[in-house]
Amino acid sequence: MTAGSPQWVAHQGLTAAAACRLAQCELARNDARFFSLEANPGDAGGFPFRAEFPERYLAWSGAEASLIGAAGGLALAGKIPLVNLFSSFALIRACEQVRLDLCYHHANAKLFGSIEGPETGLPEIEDLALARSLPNMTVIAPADATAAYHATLAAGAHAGPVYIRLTRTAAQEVYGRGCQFKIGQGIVLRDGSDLTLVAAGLGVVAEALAAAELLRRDGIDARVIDLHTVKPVDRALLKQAAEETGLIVTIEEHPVRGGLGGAVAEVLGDECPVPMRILGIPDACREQPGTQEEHLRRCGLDASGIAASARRALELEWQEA
Amino acid sequence: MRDSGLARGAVAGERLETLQERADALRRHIVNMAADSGAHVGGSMSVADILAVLYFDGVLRVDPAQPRSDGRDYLIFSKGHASAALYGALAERGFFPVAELASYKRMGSRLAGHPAKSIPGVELATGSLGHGLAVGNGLALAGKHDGRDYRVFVVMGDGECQEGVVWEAAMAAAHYRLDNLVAIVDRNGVQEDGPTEKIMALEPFADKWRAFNWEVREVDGHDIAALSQALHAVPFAAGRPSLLLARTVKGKGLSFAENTHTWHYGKLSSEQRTQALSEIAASRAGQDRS
Repeated sequence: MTAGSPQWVAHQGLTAAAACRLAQCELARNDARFFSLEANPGDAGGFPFRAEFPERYLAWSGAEASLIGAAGGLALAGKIPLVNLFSSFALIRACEQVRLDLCYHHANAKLFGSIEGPETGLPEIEDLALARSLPNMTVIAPADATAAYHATLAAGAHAGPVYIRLTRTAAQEVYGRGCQFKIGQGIVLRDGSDLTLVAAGLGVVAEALAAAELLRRDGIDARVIDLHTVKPVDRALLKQAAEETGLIVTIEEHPVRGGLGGAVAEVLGDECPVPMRILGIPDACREQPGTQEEHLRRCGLDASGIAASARRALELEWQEA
Repeated sequence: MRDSGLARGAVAGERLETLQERADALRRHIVNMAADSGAHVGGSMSVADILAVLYFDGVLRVDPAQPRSDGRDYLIFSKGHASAALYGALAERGFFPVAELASYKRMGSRLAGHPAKSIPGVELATGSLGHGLAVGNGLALAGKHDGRDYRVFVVMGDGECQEGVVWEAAMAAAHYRLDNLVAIVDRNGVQEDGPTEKIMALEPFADKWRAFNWEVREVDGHDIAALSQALHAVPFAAGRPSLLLARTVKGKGLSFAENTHTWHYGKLSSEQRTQALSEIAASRAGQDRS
């Protein structure tokens, strides 16, 4: 097992952010156009890149608006900037730079946004809605460290702006043996015929899989899809799931408006309207500190919460049938 | 005075006249666009001489036949609202036909009120103020990394410098010692709502840039010979970004629009168009007599 290989990543218990960094070094080794731009993510994760490619590593402190602008300039000059920062400082503080200097120009820049900070009390959790609304932006929420590693490589090979959602705390493993990651193609993690659980992001995909297991004990056969690319969404896979299972439940650590659930609803409304439930975070600022697990449980986004919501939705369908 | 400009040959005689004629042509284009469709008159007129020197005095190494040619100098027109002046310069320089200026801001035209990336010669879509200098940093960083000799010129408005991101970018440019970056501020002293010093004071403006470790030159932004000398002398110092503070007059050349925010944006009546065009013609005739 080679250090840095996907199998190695899976067995190191790495965070998604750390796995991403390994992939960034891999990209830079193979292509001199890759630069790393760093805005104080505070995890020292960029140091290996800095050690190996000091001339392509740009420290930028917390000046995110000018950092994103510079990324746009580097991209105009043919470079591929890999920007590591806290998500809110890219998508909220510097949103206009992301929109105009990157998205409008179809800049070949990649944003690695950490939504970190459950302990801070006000983590940035609106990133998927914000990123999804920006033109030309590809939006990815990998399910674990292995997926984050592959997502980073895929983003590096993709022309145009990409946002990847990360956290710096270790998430449950989903893809121990590696994953076939293709931008825009959801992954069916478990087949099923009674309903489909569609999840995206660290933690919640693993919880959705565990929820499917709980439902199985009740005789409910749930399909589980990792819809890691929230934009553009895999329309064919969603349509097929709607047609074959008749009920869709989406799960995301994100406000219920505008994120994964919104993206799925937009497709189903066009392609195959079926009943659906959007599980996420209520429309409120999350002020309490706590671990990701605690927050998922509080919002009903852990396995038992997901299973309970799915069961209620299915019972309602059966009553109406 | 720096003698390097003299060594290169100070602009005088026929060459100066040609540049002045170019500047007049830009002003006529601005007037016509403002009369036809409305335009940011004040800031377009104040930046006309700066653009004339950049594009027609051999400062910018660009090729209208190959707008994306490798190794070209970059002009980031950060005060994108003054698009009428930029479009006039690009058309005169041959990036697209002068006749196309008549389509300014019309449905179906590529000449939108704010420069779009699809226009030949436009490097960055601007108009939302404060973006240009930061993007210029990225272009300059890439040039440094690759050992290229291209320069990056960023034209900014003074009101624009009230945006915080400008100072972030100023800090970064000095930190990374980007002496291939030249910022030109069109210091006309008047912004949309009034004089900058009353709205949100910028002074001591040159000192602010110096404190950010930029090498600063100040110049009369309507003195074409002085502009030429300064812009041919960049970088002003090795290892530092260059700032040319061009003191200008808002609405320069139109008696009714000079030094007032009321013509920050406006549409000229047909009488005003006639008056404006005759004032532009008269100003040069007056200079010729002097």
